[in-house]
Amino acid sequence: MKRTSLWTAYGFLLPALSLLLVFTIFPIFVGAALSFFCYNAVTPPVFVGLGNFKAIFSDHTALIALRNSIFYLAVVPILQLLSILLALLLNEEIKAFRVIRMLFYIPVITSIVVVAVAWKWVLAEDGLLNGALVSLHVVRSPIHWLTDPSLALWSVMMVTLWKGLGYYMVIYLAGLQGIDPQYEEAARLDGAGPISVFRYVTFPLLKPVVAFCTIISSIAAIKVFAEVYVMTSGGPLLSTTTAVYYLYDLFMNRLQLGYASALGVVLAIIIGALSYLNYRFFREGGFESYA
Amino acid sequence: MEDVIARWEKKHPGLSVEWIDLPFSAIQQKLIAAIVSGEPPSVINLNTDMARQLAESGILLNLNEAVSREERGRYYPGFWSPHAFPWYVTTEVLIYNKAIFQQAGLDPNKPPKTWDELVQDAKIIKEKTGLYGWFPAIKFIQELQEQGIPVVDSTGKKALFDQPPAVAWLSMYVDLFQQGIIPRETLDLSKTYQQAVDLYQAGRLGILQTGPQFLNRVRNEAPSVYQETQVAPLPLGKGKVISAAIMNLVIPKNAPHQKEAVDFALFLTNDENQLAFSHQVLVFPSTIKASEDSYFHASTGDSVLDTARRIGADELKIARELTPDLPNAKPRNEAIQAALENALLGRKSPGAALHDAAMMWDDLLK
Repeated sequence: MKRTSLWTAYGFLLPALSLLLVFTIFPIFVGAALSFFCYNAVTPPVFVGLGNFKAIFSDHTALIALRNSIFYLAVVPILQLLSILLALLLNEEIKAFRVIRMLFYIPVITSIVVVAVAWKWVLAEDGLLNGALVSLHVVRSPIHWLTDPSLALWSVMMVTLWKGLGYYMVIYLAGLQGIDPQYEEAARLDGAGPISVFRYVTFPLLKPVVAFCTIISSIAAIKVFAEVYVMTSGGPLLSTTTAVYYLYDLFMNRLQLGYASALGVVLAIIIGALSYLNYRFFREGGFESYA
Repeated sequence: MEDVIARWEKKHPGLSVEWIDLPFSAIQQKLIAAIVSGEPPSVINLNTDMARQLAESGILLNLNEAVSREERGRYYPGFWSPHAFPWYVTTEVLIYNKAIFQQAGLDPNKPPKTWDELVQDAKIIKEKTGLYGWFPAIKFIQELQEQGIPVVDSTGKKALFDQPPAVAWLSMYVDLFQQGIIPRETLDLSKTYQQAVDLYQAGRLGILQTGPQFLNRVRNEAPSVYQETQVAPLPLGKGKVISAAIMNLVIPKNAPHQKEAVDFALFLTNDENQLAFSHQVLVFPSTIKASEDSYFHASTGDSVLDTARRIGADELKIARELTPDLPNAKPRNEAIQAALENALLGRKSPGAALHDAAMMWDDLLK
C-alpha cells in the first residue's frame, strides 16, 4: 500500500481509535493500577500490593458473587440451543415467519431496564405469571419467583434468556443462510435423515457461528448487571448478587474503589480464560476445516 | 429556588450560585467524580445516610466551629449534626384508602391508632378483601427507637437489639410475612418504598406508611385513588419519638468560597426561606420558628393535604434523626438486612438472626 493511502486509512481510524483509547483502554489501565491501592475517592490512595486480591478470597460476599456469576453461565448452552432450534425452524422464506422473526427480535431492541421492570411485574407474587398459574390450577399458591433464594437467580436468568433469544437467532439465521444448500442436499441424496443432516453437515459448518455466539453470550452472562439491579437488588440473601452487581455496590455505595477494581481484574481474568476455552472448544469446524 | 438564589446573589455582589439538580440515583456518582477531580461543589444537598458517610471520611466542614451558637439554636436540636445543616424534614404518616377500609368492614373514619391496631387492620383487610392492608418499608433500627427499645448501650460499643423486646418486634414482621399478610416484596428493602407507592396508587394497598409529600404524587398520578384517600398520624410507640427523614446541606472542607458557602446554607435554611419552600412542597422546616407558623394549621381547600400538613407539623415536635451516628454504617446496615432476610425467610429464628447481627455490630463498633 502506498504511504499516503496508509496515512489516509489511519486518518479515518483516528476518531474511533481515540474514543476507544480514552473511554476503554485508558480506564482499563487505570482500573488495573487502582486494584493495587486502597482508595475511597476522598483520601489519597494507599498502595497495598496484592492486599485487595487476597481480601477477595476471604470475602464471603465476593465468593458468593463470583459463584453466582459462574452459575449464570448455565444460561449460555440453553440460550444457544434454543436460538439454533428457533433459527432452524424459521429458516424458510415464508411471510408469516418474517413476522415471527421480528417478534422474537423485539426484546433485543428493548431497553434492558424496561424489560427488567416489565418482568418484575410478571414475576411478582401477585403478578401476571402467578395469576395465570393459580387461576389455571397449575399451582395452588403463588410461586416465589423473585423472593425465594433458591429460585431468584433462575428467574433472572430466564429474563436474560428471553431477551437474548432473538439476537442469537438472527445471527444463526445468517449463519444458516451462508451454508450452501447443495451440501445438505447431497447428504439427503445419500439417504441422511433430517437429524443426521443437521448433525453431520449443518452443525459442523455452523461451528464458527456457534463459537462466536457462545463467546459473546458467555461474556454477557458473566457481566450480568441490569436485570439484577432492577429486579432483585442482589437479594434475597445474596442469592442474585453477581460479581458485577457486587462490584458496582463496592464502587458506588461503599466507595471501595481499589477493592472494586481488584474484583474487576479477577473478573477480567475469568472472562479471558473462559473465552480462550470456548475458542479452543469450537475452533475446528466451518467450511475451511473440510476444504 | 431561582428567586431565593437571586436574593442571595444580590446581597453578595460578584458571586453567583450555580444550582444543579440531580436525580437521587445519580448524586453519589456525580459527587464522587467531583470530589475525585478536586472540584467539589461548595454546598451539597444530601440525605443523612450520605452526609454521614462523607462525614466519616473526614472531608466535611465542622459546623459547630463555623456556625455561631445562636444560629445553631434556630434549628430543632434533634435535627442538628456537627457536619450538616438540617434543611427540610419529613416524618411518616399513614395514608390510607377509605374504600378498602369499607370493603373490609372497617370504619374509614377510625384509622389505626396503635401498632397493634395497624397489624390487626392489615390482617382484616387481607382476609376480607384479598388486598394487602400494609406494605411496610422496614427501618428496623429506627423503629426500635420509636418503640423505646435500645439499639446500642451508652458507650455505643455494644449492640442491644438482640434482647427480647427487639426480637418480639422482628417476630411481628416474620409472622405477618409468613402468613402472607404483608407482601413478600418486603424483602427487598431498597425498593419497598417505591413498590408500596405503586401498589397504593393502583388502589391495591390499604395503608401506605410514608412521607406526606407522596400525597401530591398520588393526587397527580392516581386521582381516583386520591379521592378515597385520607391521612392519619403514624402510631406512636413507647419511645414517644418519630423518625425524621432529613435533607441536609453539607460543605466540603476544600470547597471554594467556604465562608460564603456557610452563609448561603444559612440563608437557604433560614425561617423565611424554609417556610416559603414548605408552601411549594409538602415538607417541613427544620427551624423551630418556621415550623410554628400558622400556615401548617391553615385550610387551603384540599382537606387531605391540610390534614397531612397539620399532622406532619405536629409530628415534627417529637421527630428526631434516629439513624445512629456510629462508624461503619454500610456494613452495619448490611448485617441488619441479612438478619431481616434470614428471619423473614425462616432460615433463622428472629432471635438467632438478631443475635448474629448484634455480634457483627459489636465487631464493627470496637
